[in-house]
Amino acid sequence: MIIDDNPDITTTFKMGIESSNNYANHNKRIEVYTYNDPIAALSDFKPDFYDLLLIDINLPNMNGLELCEKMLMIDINVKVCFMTSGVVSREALREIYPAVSLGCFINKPVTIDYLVNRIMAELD
Amino acid sequence: MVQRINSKITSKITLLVIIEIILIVGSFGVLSYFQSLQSSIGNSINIAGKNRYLTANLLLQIERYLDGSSDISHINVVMNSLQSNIIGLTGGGSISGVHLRPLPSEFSDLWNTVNAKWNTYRTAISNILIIPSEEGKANTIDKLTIRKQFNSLALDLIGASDVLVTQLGEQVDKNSYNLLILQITLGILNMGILALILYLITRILRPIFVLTQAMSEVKKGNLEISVQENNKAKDDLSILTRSFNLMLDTIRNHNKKQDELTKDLARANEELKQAGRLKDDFINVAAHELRNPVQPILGLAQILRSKKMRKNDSHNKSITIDEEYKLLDIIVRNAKKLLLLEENILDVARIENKSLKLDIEECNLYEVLFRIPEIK
Repeated sequence: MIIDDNPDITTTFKMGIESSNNYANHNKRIEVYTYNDPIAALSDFKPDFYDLLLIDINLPNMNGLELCEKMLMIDINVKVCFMTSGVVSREALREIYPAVSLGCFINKPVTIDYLVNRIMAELD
Repeated sequence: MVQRINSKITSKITLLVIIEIILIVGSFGVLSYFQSLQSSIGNSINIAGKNRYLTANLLLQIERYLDGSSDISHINVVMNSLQSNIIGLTGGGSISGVHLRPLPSEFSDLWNTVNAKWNTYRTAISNILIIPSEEGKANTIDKLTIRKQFNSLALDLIGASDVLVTQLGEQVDKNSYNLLILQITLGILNMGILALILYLITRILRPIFVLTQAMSEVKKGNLEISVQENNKAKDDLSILTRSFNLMLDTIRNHNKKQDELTKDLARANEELKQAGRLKDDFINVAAHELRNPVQPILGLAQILRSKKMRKNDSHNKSITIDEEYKLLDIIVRNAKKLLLLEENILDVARIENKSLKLDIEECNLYEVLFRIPEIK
């Protein structure tokens, strides 16, 4: 599940990841669901369905970490990667959201190859 | 200024000390004078007392003469002694090694009595013992009668002398009492003036004590004090006190100004920090906004390129031409967005260095508003 308020970015990422299904040397087929609004994403979220959340930090209505916190309450096992195109202090975020793991952090813009590799690494 | 203060205080204190010294020396002088009067009266008593002895001696010599065991010259010697003793008593001078002052006038009556008795005695001696010298006359006169006469005359003289001695003694007693009173009075006067000097010194120096206390307060950092001052007084210490208060006022004003300046500086510093923060925020937001459109451009360009490569493969699950156009449109739109952002940032720079030129033209406000995504 990808959540980013910019539709162009969700479109790009969805296409990039899905097209990698055709030629990549892994045998997994990744299905991508995109959302531009965190509230819509939260209402569609269900347990034991999604493998990985790709959440932008700067979102309208609720920030990415808040959203992640709520989603983790629904499914504690889901993996998370955060994205941002700004400058973010991970230490400050860790203090405010101690429950959220900040291990995977992607600084936009990224190449599609890098994005896919990163996602694969997280899924393994 | 400092020298003037010193001279004024010093002159005030010096004047008082001089008065005190004069009083002490004067007291000693007066007391010494009265003391010497006392001792001179004592000497007079001594000499007057000697009359008794000399008179008795004269009587003895007369007795001897009448007995015929002594001649007239012994009588003359004693008579001369008595004569000079009595004269010296009134006139003063050196008698028997004692320096004598003239007898005070209030005793002249008593002395006259003594002198009169002496003259009677002397005349009797001359008439009866010395002048007659008619052969055997002395013998013819009844010696017993002569003895009785001389005895009574001698007793008269002794009595008169004793009266003088007694009176002089009483005078000494009276003087002693007066001297005591005088000593006590002068003592009290001296103490009083000494106390007055101490009081005046304390009063003169009081402002200095007060100022010293105030100074130590100032030293501790307490500037909210002022020394009570006498507006009418024009002496140097009052001027000093007033100057001290003025100095404190000046320091307080300076401190106040400094505090205000410090506050202004702190405020300016805070504003500067705020401006710095705003600038940082702006740069963060600008960086964020600049990076956002790059992602679709980069990502879609890569996707389209790999699709084109794959077209040549046998394996064909390529996207349609319509889809390709759609992706290219996204790339173009984001590139335009990037361009617009760049121009906006340049506009900010132009606004900051005041070189922005406005492109004024008519426009459709609805369209402008509709282009803003948040309002849409």
